[in-house]
Amino acid sequence: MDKEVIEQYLKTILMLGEGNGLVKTNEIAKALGLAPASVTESLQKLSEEGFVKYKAYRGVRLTSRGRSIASEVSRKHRLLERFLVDVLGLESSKVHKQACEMEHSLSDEAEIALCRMLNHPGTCPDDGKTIPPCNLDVWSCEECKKIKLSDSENWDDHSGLRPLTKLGVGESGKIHFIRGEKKQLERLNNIGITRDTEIKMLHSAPLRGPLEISVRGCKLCLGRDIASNIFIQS
Amino acid sequence: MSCQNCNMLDPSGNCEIDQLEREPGTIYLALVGNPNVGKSVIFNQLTGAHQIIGNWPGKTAAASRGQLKFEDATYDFADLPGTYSISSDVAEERIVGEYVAKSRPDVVVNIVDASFLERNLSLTLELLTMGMPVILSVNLMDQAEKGGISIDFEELGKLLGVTAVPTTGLHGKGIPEILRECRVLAGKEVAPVEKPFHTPRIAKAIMDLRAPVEQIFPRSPGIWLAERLLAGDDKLESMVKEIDPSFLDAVRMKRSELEREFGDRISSILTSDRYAVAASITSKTVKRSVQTKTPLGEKVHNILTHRIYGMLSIVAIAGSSFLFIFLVGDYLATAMISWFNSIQPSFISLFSDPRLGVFLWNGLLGGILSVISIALPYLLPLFIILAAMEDSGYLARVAFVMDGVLHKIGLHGKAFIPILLGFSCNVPACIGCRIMETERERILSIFAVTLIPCAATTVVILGLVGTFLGIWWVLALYAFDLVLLAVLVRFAGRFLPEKSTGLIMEMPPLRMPSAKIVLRQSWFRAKDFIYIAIPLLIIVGLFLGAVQYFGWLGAISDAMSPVTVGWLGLPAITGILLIFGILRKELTLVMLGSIAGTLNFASVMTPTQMIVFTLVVMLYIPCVATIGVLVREIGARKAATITLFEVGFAILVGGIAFRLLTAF
Repeated sequence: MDKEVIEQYLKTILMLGEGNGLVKTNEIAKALGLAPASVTESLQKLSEEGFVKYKAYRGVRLTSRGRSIASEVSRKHRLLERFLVDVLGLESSKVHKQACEMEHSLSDEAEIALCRMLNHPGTCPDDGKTIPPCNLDVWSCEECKKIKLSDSENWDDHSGLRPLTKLGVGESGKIHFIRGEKKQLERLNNIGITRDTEIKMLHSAPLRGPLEISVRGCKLCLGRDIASNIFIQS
Repeated sequence: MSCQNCNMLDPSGNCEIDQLEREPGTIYLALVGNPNVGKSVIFNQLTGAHQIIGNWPGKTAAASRGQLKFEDATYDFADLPGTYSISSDVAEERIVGEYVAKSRPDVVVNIVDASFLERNLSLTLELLTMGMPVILSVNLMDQAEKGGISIDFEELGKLLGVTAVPTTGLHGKGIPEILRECRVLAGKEVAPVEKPFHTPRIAKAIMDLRAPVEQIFPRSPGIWLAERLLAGDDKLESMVKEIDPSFLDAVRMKRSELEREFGDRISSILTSDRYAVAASITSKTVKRSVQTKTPLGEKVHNILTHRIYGMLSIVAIAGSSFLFIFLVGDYLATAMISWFNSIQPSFISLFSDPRLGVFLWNGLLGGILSVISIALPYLLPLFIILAAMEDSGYLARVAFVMDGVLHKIGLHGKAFIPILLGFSCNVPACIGCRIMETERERILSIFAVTLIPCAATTVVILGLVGTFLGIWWVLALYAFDLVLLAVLVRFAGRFLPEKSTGLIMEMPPLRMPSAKIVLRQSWFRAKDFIYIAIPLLIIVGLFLGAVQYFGWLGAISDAMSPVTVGWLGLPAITGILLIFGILRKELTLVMLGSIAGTLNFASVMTPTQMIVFTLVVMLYIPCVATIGVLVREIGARKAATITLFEVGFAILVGGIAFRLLTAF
């Protein structure tokens, strides 16, 4: 299978499966404008390659390998949308198709450079969806700003930085930066969660529930999705 | 350009909104502060009003007003919703800033939590920059002192340029001092701040913009507007653009210069920096004595929020609460019902026509008696336990631990509180859904609540299925109902488009509940319930009494038989039972007994019919009182949608169950 086709499938499955991850063949066929029969055939191939888990009549789910490719592609897609809107000034309703075509040929280096030039955007322009973090994941935006492209192999060394969700109970650290859309960032700032503030993990609720943290002497509960966008330097 | 009255925040001159109608000689105060710092407690102390109090953030949803005469002056108070910031772009947090800017109170009483001064002072700094006449009420002093915190009030006042008064709202401590200070301040002209509350680098950036801003808006506090302009306030920017576009470009240059230098967004830079100032003031004025051992509250908190013990304690506490409520409620209810039953014959014999007596007893008194004898015995202990959980801060811990579970069906942890309430009575539970943050979550949790079998439904389940088929069928029905609830709520969530905002909640401190607050709170809740329930129960009771009086029971049952007999496979008399069940669900069973003339229900219904009948009763309609509260809480249209859906759904599920059960 073509790289571009694989990427297109994986991205579509990621997008459609935003809830529990299971996506039906018909949904994919509809989204891609293809006949269900040919989609089924492709899905079987993707399954053989280990990108997805395919169950007849129930649908598909991304494997972790498939998921990482898919989120990489959708990251490129959304960054490109931002570029087309913010820099080139195209109308946000018209950039989706363009970005769909460009995303497959954008190299990883170009992607990092694009991210830096756009000042590390958090969401895409046409639907406000969050741009997935780059695969330098945890040590993304802030470090990315400081490190030159040339020594990109140094990224792995910045292991002192991790999202708040990865802090163990009782551990503490300084907030290095916060990612996310403006409104949520402001809510966090206003309640006292700002850069360079000491933050301590107190409790973590079961079943991927919220976290209890202490900051500026008060105790706060944060949902896990919010906490995963707060990066801590220990 | 700017107008006389509201030149402070809104230079557009748009000042017709919310102007206070001033009585001469009255001093107008606004209570402003972070959520859960005790504003409403102070407000109640001052005005004798009955604002809802609870130990969790977000009770006060809208401004309320009250008055007080003290030492020959009249004070008018506005209790405002808690807020962390008044300069935010977040809509909910703007309300307070706009109220203060437009109504121009004589004094802003800024209430801060003495234990968390650093976090609270950020808002104070904003109010001061805005040029508000501020009195600082450093509240909850009793708790702070217990925590080993001492505060240098003189130094604090000096650093901020205000009077700082220690207060303990619950005991009214420090309140007279606040009032006297307000009276002094109300007459004075407040000098605008001369330098921004920021660290040097940011302060300079703001001061650079001050002079040109003051040229454009001569009447307004220059530093405040300069800061807002730098922060990128949309409204302000478009006004500046009209007057002096080149200055706006200069502002934007300055902004991106700072953003590059600090590597962050401007709003974050400014807020962080304001917090840095708040932290430095706090470190100069607050002393904490080092506590050698973990306080008891802390230890309990650690257990209640623990991954495993937290869950276990919820089960234990909820379980024992229900046991308590059912034991107390059952005792009181049984005692009262038997008393009412004992006077029933003598009441009926007062009338020459016994049918009239029955009509009046069922219709007029029935509603009132059912509230007194059925609902209140269960509700009062429930309200007391709930208020104690609320005031102690335990409910917030429940929300924390249950959040993960409820997320699976698209709800927040906080929804667990009303859902739990629903098992006793849906009415207060629906009111309790007000704690949800967004409209979407409130509607979803109200829907979930209406699917919870309440105490009256439990009577039917236990009396019919429990007595004749055994406890396993009862448990199976409960489990089935909870599964249906999860599926339906998840499904309903799809029809409500916006996504839920992530949880950001303050964890209120754990403390011994105050008996005074708990009892007052329970009483207000009970009163709320009585006001809604009794009129409805009387009206519908009279109507149903009339039906019985004129002997239309049989006709109605016959008219309903295509559904009851044809589709659900039930005996024909169940038609009228289901109609009466609208009033109170346990009436279905009570009336079955009286119509069939026997309490051995096995002689009138087969086991399958019992299960189908109970299923329909569980699901089919919120009772009249619940429908009433639904209309009040979410409007007639949504209430009708939920009611009709549940009737249809109950009939559907009942019919399917009938076919499945007879097939095997």
